[in-house]
Amino acid sequence: MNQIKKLEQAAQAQIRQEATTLHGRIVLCGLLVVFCYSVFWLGVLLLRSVHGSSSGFLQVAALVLALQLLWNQRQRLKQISVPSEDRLLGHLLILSGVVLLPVCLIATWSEPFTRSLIAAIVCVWILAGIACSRWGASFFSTYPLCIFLLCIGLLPKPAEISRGIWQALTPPEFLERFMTWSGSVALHAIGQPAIAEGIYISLPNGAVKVGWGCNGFDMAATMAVASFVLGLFLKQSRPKIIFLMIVGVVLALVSNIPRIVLVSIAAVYWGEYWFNFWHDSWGSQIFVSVIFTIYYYVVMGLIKRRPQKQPS
Amino acid sequence: MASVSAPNFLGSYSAKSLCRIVGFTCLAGFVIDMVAIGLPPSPLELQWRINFFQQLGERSIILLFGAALVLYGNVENRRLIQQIALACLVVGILFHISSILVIRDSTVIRQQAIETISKQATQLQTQIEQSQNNPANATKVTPEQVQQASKRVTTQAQTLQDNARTGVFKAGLSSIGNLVVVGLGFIGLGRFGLRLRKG
Repeated sequence: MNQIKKLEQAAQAQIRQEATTLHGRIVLCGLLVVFCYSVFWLGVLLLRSVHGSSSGFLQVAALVLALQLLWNQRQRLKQISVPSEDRLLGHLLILSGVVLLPVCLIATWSEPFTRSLIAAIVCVWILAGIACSRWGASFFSTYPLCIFLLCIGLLPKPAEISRGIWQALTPPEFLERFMTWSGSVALHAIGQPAIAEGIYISLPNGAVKVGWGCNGFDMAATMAVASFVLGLFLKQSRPKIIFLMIVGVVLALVSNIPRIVLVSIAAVYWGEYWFNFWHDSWGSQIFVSVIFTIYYYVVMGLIKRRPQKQPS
Repeated sequence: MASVSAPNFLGSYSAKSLCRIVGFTCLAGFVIDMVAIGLPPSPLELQWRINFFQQLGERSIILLFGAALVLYGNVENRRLIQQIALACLVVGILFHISSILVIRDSTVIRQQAIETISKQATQLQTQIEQSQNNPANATKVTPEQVQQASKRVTTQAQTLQDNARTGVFKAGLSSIGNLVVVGLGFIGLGRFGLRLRKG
């Protein structure tokens, strides 16, 4: 209780000190808006995590890691002197963000996704202004990891955004067609006369469509982000983190092939109940647990086999 | 004397004068272009806004180039440098604000396109159902044919919706990318100008 009281008193003293200067007042104004948004957004993320969303939990982890990285650097950050042009730029960013947020929320009131996306962008904008006016523009080149984690943590539905970017940059149904072909090859390997036609796997008793949800992209993206966060948590070097991400993505895509085989057989031979079982949440969770178990042993094997060089 | 001063003259005054001339020409060319595209102005109309910001994003590199040349051309006039640098900072921030507007407009137009395709697909499905119920067509059209036609409409509508979604996303991404990158360029130019003013 004493510690909480001390923290409260320190916060009050800091706010009083900030409110004495124009710069402090502008930063406080920006922080107030960011705080309101953060409370709302953390609520949304915790609700998502409680409902079983892995991305919600990963986003909370990314935010906590970013804040921890900043907290560890607090002594170094305190000593940075800010050039006047960076302070001016920071103030312009904060003030424009504070004015922009309510305007954006009113302009996009009918579409929840756009509203939360724009609110997140403006929030990041204000944070960029605060960082620029407090620590100068060199902050962005010194702490790119921290900025990336904050952006990942604040963006709403990163899966939707990554899907949009993937579909915009690749030929139509690229991954679905590849998975259909791989699935049919795997079915052939176990003696099933499967034929791949576009995004359909045809078997003698029926056909199965490999849609967006079955192409393994979401799992690959989740594994990439999970590997990134795990690499940071285990304090690995940058090349090793990239290697872990590649391992995660390849494992997710390769593991998707037996899933397609199983779901195709369930749909064509075992009936609707078993198709729904393997296709929906139960089947997905069994697959995810199998993937994460394999991934854990692969990653731990890789990390233990090549220990990081200690500075002499 | 003449042989010494000529290269100096060419080296410093000519370069700055050239930069001023080319810089102001770029700025004027950009303004004329945007006025021609933007007139008559109807900022409340979605289609006008999307077209205007797309053109602004594509042409903005000329504005950035012109501003950089004007800044360099007036490097000795500290007062003017400060004004140009401040204008660059404000323009950079305005470019970022306009990219937020493009995000909003892209989602609205995508939604409109998807709704239009859905409406047309529903109308076609209704026509197919009516033709099935019409006793005059009972002998000509088999239930299998009706089912096939209905399935084809659903598949085509889905494909069109996916194409519309990807097309709008691509166009939006291109506009936003241009606006953000050039906006960052302007902010960098503004910071550079303000540092230059201090000496």
